[in-house]
Amino acid sequence: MKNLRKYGLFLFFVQWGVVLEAQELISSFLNEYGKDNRLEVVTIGKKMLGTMSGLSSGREDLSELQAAIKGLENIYIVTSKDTTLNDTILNREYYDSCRQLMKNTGFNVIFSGNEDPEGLFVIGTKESKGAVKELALLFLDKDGRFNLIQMTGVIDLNMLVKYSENLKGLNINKQ
Amino acid sequence: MAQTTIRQLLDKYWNCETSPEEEQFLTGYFSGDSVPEEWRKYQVLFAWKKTQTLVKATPKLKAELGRQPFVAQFYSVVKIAASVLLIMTIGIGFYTHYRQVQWMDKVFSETYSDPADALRDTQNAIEKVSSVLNLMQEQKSDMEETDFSPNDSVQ
Repeated sequence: MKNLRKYGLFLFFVQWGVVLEAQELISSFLNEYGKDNRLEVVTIGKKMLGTMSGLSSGREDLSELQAAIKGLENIYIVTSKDTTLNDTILNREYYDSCRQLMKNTGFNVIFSGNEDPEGLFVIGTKESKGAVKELALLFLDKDGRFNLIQMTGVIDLNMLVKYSENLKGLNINKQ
Repeated sequence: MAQTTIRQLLDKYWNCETSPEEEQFLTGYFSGDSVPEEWRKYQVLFAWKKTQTLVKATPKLKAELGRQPFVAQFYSVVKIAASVLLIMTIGIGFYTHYRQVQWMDKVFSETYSDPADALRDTQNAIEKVSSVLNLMQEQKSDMEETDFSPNDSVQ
């Protein structure tokens, strides 16, 4: 009975570790910078993602979106609020710090660059059992604004790649 | 009291076998006037013994006896201070953790109640990720198409 309790307690903490790991990058980042009130955090959970799927009837663009977000559990979006000169400097600090955190929290950087219109960016993924379970896109846009998009769940990179292509296809057809 | 009994008590006294009550009895007997000549020499002893029982510790002596040595006092204070510090640290730790958990819960709770608002942000996010992934694919394709073999015209 004693051993059973020990194992139960052990499994409880392991489970907590698994749940918290998904928020590790953003929570680590917000622990350091979140309280200075310059960042906005948007959380779109599984329930809301499922509800949005219900809006897709009759809209082809939403059907494409539905395919792209299938399997996602959460989307976290962190953006900086202002783009005055001081904030541009601070935004760069956010970017550098977050990039380091991506490495520290186990993300594998798959691509980075400085392109127009993307701006300065880095994208990384975390895999588990051959599937991409987390994706983080970090970028400074052309206005110098800091952005971090993190997705968790079962992520289909091919569908994400096809999303913008399919949208372009839809726009051409509409013309 | 029969002298035989007194003699027996005296023998016990010299052998340190008397009880406190028996000693008290002997003290009372030898402070009286009917002590036989042969035992008068013991009156001085029991008279002295009687005065010793009347000696009481002065308040100063009692205070000295009750006071702990400085080192023992110091360690007592240190133990109490360490216990208080430990409790405070644990309390502050729990409070900080609780506030942190509350803040995180607030930050990571669902932002939108209206799916239309969530849809807008989701579309923007997916478009951005898709755009970057497409750029990655284009650059990978360019790399694959580029011929890195040596130029045959160079001699």
